[in-house]
Amino acid sequence: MKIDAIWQPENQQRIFRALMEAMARPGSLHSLDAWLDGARSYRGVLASLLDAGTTLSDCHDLLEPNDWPLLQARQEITEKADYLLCQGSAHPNGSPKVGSLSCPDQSATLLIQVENLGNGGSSLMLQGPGIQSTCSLEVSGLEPAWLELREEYISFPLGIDCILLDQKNITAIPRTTKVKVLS
Amino acid sequence: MKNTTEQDIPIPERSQWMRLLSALDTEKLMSQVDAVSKGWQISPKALPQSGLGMLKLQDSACNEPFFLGEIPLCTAWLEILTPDGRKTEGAAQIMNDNIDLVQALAVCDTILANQLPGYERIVDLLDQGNKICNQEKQRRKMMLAKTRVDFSLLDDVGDDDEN
Repeated sequence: MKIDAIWQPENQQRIFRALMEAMARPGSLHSLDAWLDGARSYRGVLASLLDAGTTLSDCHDLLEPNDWPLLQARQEITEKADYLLCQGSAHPNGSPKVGSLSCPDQSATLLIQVENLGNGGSSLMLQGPGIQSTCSLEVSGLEPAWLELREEYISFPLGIDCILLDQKNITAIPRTTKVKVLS
Repeated sequence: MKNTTEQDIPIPERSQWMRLLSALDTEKLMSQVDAVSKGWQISPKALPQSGLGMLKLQDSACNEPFFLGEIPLCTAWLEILTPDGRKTEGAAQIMNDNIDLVQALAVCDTILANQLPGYERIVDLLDQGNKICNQEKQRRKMMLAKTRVDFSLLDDVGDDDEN
């Protein structure tokens, strides 16, 4: 039986390691190309993060029906889902969960599919834990409303964590990071 | 033996397929499945899983659920694309921890349910499995018969005591 690369445990572990690096160093770019074998990066990240104990909301119908049984995650509405898969060029809809003071970890992680990471589009300046002074990030295909939504929902320790993904690369903007739009 | 096929070969109910095929030697079954499915594109619909399943029951007094114990459990759900472009699906779930075996059984399920090429060979395997299961059933029946106690003899003993 042929199992695609993103469903192989060794590749999922490597993608998970890249996610850890991305979350530890907000704004840094990480290529998943070597482990995707042609799949889009959001499928690889979802394959690494999800199992039967997690919930997912596919806000903009990016997934194929065949992906769901492989991911094992349960479908959930945006307000209750652990993970939200969103299209960056579309306007956000719904309110992700932000956790509670006793359990801030029970918040949503947004996986936002953008056109391109690292060049073009908006220029962002990031600041916060994991960043030496400041870091700049260029993103194209990201509706500014996503950053506004993020600001609106963060009241540390409550908030949401974002992972931006293009075809092959990822970067993370956790809730501890302050984002300023330069252009 | 209720199902029939286009070729009018009676085969057991689908619910019995896993039981009958599991009775066969694992290596023999897997080599037959490998031979039949050579050149096919087999891909998972859900990732094959192997682990411990919890057997959940309800107690009869309060109807509260409780876990009787753990059982080894393997599942596979796959899709087969044959060289003629036919796309079919099948699945298997067995009390075993051999993930290769459950995949082979899921392939058998797909072949039997969709009458794919090699169908007759898998029907043969079902037949062989059926024979093994029947032999085992007979063996157990004989063992049970040997443990039978004739309580009618106790009546005579009872009468003696009373006298």
